[in-house]
Amino acid sequence: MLSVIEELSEDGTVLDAAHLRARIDDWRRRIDDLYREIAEWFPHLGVDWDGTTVMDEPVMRAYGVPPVRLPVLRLVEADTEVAAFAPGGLWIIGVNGRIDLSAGQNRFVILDKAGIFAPPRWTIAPGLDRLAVEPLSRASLARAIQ
Amino acid sequence: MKHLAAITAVYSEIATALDAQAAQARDAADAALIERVAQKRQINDSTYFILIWGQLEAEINRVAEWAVRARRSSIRWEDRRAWDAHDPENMWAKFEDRAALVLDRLNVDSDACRRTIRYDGWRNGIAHGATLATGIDVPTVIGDLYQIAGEIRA
Repeated sequence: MLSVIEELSEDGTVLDAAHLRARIDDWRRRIDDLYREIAEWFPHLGVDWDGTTVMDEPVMRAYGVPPVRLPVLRLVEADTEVAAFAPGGLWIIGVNGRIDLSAGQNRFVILDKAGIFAPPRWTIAPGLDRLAVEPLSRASLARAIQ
Repeated sequence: MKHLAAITAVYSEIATALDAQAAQARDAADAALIERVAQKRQINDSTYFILIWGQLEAEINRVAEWAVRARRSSIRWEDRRAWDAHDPENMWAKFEDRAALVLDRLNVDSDACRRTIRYDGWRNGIAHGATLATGIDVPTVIGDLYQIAGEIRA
């Protein structure tokens, strides 16, 4: 199971535009699946799917892959934003993608700890205590956004 | 390796401040600001990566030097002849060789030696201004460095 550092070092894989596009497609699928699951975990909250953010990472520029837009998920309660999830980067050494979570004044990082092209293993940690990592679940996310 | 917890705490504080800047830039849909914050995050990650990598590198050098001294002191020439090629006062061997003195290069289960050499290569890439990564998750890498440190043998 390859990691991002192996991938970017071309140790066991070949970097080219086709590979990067496949990785972006896989990233988008994982984000969509996660957002759907989160929406199901909190049916009492409103869901705003309309926002997007631009993905334009250094390796994409190096191989001529144009920027793409990725979805931002907002959970709302009585017209007040409870939480906003935004993709923070795919090619991050040590993980297979990061989603930034803002919940009021609090920040969390949601990380996929799986290898590339593997089923995701999402975790969550407070921004100010990044060693306090726990698996992402309805319960751990509820604690973060309560 | 004794400073890693303190390094993680300071890293978390600065990274979280940058996360907040990134969220503001995204909310404002300010593409130039988003790019500037992304660069700041990349620089911050690289800086802390080099700092934590230096902790493991120093540990590998320390143990390699100790191993050479201990093995060279053997009375039996059969035990010390390969180690006599190293001078503990002046370890000219390249880092890859020093790592192989204290980590089993053929242990494919843990892969610690190869991971170490890969991190060293990544550090060199950063030092030469050549990195394709968007960032480095410093706490995850610190966890990996602790695992590697646990496998170092004199």
